[in-house]
Amino acid sequence: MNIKLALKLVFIGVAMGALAFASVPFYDWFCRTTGFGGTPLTAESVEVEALDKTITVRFDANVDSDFPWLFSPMQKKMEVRIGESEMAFYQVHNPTDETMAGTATFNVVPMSAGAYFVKTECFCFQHQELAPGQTEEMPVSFYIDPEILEDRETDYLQTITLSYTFYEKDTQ
Amino acid sequence: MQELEIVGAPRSGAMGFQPAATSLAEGIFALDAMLLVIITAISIFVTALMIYTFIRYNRKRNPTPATFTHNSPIEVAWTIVPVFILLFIGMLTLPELFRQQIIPEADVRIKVTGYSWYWGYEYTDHDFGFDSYMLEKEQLAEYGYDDEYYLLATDTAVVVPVNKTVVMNITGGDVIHSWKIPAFGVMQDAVPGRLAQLWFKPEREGIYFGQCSELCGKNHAYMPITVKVVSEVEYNKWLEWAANEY
Repeated sequence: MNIKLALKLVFIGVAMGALAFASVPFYDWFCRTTGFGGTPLTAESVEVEALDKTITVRFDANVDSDFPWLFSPMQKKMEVRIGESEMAFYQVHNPTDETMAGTATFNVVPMSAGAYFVKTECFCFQHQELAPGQTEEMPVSFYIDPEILEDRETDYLQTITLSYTFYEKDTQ
Repeated sequence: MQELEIVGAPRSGAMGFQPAATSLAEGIFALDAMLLVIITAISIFVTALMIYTFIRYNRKRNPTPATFTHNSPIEVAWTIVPVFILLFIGMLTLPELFRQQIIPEADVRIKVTGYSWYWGYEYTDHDFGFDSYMLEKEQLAEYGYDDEYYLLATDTAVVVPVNKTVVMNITGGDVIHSWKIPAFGVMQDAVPGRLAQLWFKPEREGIYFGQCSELCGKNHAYMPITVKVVSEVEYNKWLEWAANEY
């Protein structure tokens, strides 16, 4: 009787722990699919028609305070036609004398725009490694889904800001 | 810089809120007043019912108590009435929430980064930025603050023009901080690796204080925020000065 109860409790504990770990990929999938919390969507190619209406996209860059890389957008803002594929560049520089690797997290604000900001190619999809003193220009291709105009929460938007934060990663 | 009145600061012995300097703060304070009326009415009603029951149905006056446990009309009433009260509160709260979250087109853009334990500001349209540290007690006089503003006043201040829309992009540099000005009715967590936004449109010139509002470490209490709201002329003068200085 007591052993049965103990086994049950252990099972519940293990199951809760497993769910906690499973929630990491689950939330990742959830945000990528729904654009929740300003997570941009991703797509292989542009499959929408460009409109005449434009929107301003601003670019923001951050680096984790323990990470010595220098990271900045090469254009402050772009006037973008809704539905048209655009490319922007960020510059990243490794000022140290050792090879380092980094990866970037990202989101857009206002967060409601996440579901309509679609990236087709991005440096943040990959692991970045820079040699000592190396500077790299990194592209991001994106488009804004015309459906942004159909949503009450986003149809008024004139500006979307895309933000990245670089963190250190172990070199491979 | 012109002499500014200190508007947004806690007052010793005072009750209630600091004076509202934005329409957002006015909206929040009005909601608070409305809720207080509802809460007060409910508290008085429930207390009165309880007192009545204590007196009318105590052992002396009511030696043989009734034994029924259900009364359908009363149960329906105490379910439906709260639903309407909550609907009423929601009807007034949601528009206010959307007004805060729908970010208007900005006149002034400022990037805010919370660090352990100070704030970094960047005027993104003007390519300059500065950090903002709390003033020690002995530094206050030098910067023109009275002693009572210890733990609130900072060495540099965010300067914004009056009656202009300010949009702040907020992030954290190391751990989670939170940028807050009570008199503006704004507060936003500064989360590392994520950008977030808030907006306000100050309607009164003056100095406003705020504090880091997310527990962030041992000096959480020592990274306050100072915002100076000035006339547009003063603001342009300050921009020119700041672009050279920082």
